[in-house]
Amino acid sequence: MYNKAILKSILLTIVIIAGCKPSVPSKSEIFQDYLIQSHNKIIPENLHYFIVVPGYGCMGCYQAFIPHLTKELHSVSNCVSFIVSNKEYMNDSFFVNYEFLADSNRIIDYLPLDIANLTVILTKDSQIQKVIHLNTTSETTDFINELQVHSPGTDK
Amino acid sequence: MCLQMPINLEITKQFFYIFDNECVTPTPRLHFARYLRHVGQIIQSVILFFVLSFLSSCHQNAPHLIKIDEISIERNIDEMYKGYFENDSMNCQITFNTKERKLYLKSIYDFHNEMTISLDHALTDIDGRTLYTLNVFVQTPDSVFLSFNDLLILINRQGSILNSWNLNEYHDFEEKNLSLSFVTPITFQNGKLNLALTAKLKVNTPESTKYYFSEMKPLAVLDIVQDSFRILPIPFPQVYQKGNIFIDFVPHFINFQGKILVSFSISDSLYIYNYDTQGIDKIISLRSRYYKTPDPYPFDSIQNFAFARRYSFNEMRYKNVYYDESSDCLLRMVSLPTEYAVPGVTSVKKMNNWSLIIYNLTTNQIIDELIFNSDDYQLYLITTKRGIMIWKTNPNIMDSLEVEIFKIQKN
Repeated sequence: MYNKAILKSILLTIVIIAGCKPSVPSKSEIFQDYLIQSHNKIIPENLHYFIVVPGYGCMGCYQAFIPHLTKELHSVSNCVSFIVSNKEYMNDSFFVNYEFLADSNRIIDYLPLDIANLTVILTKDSQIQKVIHLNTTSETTDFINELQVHSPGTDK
Repeated sequence: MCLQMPINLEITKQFFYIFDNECVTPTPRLHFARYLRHVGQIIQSVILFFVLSFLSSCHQNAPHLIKIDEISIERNIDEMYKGYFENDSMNCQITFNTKERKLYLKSIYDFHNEMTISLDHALTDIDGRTLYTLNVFVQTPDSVFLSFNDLLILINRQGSILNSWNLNEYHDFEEKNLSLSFVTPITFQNGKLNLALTAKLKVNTPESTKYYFSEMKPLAVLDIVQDSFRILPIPFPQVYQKGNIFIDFVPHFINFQGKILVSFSISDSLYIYNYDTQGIDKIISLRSRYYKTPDPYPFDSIQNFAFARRYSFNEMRYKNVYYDESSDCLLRMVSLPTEYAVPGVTSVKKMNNWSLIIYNLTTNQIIDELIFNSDDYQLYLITTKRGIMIWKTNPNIMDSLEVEIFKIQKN
């Protein structure tokens, strides 16, 4: 009887301690928090592509892929946003037809979302679905093809 | 700064005494009393052990880097640090504003601007997006060298071009398909520009890596008096020549007592090259206390930038070397393995933690190696007449940052 009471007390203590442990924010929560704090917006419900041009990356890749991306994605610009923290690309006319989110403090570079070089954060239902890196010509071409096939309004 | 924990013989003896006593079988009546006495002794010994350990850890050697001052300066995200310049009347940090395309020479005493040099004229034909690769060396306010891929330009304080050198016109440079590196600053002494080189060769297999690092000599001298270009006979150390890649192509170097002191990122040795004998005069071994054997970079991840970023945090690399004239010490900066993303945090590390090895050239001994947390200190310093200036991080203040000034105390 006495032992059972001790056991219950211990279990209760463990449960309380476990309950007090701060929960680890998910990647979606971190990204949502970033969008609210830095750009006053939220992750959309519909399929959306946030294309990040971070400070850490390959300038040769940027020079090759950004003009290509901005040209080819014109037809699906409603579901694409560019987040730019690379200061060389901060005031660029490439992004004029897209939602352009400038991050001059480079906060996006240091979120724990594995961001490096051209990075696509694919979101749906207000959650991150996946993070895609565009490091090569073939990865960039595959992404453009995928986006044009699966974008909203294409009925596919 | 190292913490030493000497073995305390008395405590050690007490522990052995207790264990010896336990070998004697007590009578049942004495058992409990003796047990209590033993427990008390153990607790006493443990407390004594921790108190002495704590006291011994508090007894540190005198610090070898003394903070003597600090200054708050304006933060400008468009400015890149390009080194230090001093003459009889000026002691300045050199910054390059990529947006304005201007060089600023700012006094190290109050960081007010002493001179502005517009690069508009010199950089007319250079794409703005590649300006981050510009290398600058200020010899005097009227002889400022700019280097860019295969081009060297000499300008004056008005920004007018005094001379220029297309390095492709020199046989060795053109034949070996070389390019100037922007990673290591150019230096100038006795009419000679010291330049770091890379070759435009693919390095993506063990064979091509072995070839590159066996054949490539990464330093050259452009003699602007004699108008000659010469690749220096300084090869990469053996560790680079085995077919592994370490994402490290260019050594660091400084002018040192009329010679060149060369430091490779994964080699403990510093090489002192003599222009006159055209050979290595001396090798100084300067190994970090936190040395970690470098892990080769996997060839299948060469284009994976996310992996490369994590790799750079896992690795130890020797960075820049500095000479502190007032103390006659060499300083070697070491980028340390650092946890990149701690689980649960909402922000990853911006740069590696680092250490600074202080080497006394009078006694030829390392006198200290101090650790700096990159949350507090940037991996950037300059050695000046005022002292060793180290830039702080100040992540929460966006428009200003602190610079701390230190001096070396040898004893």
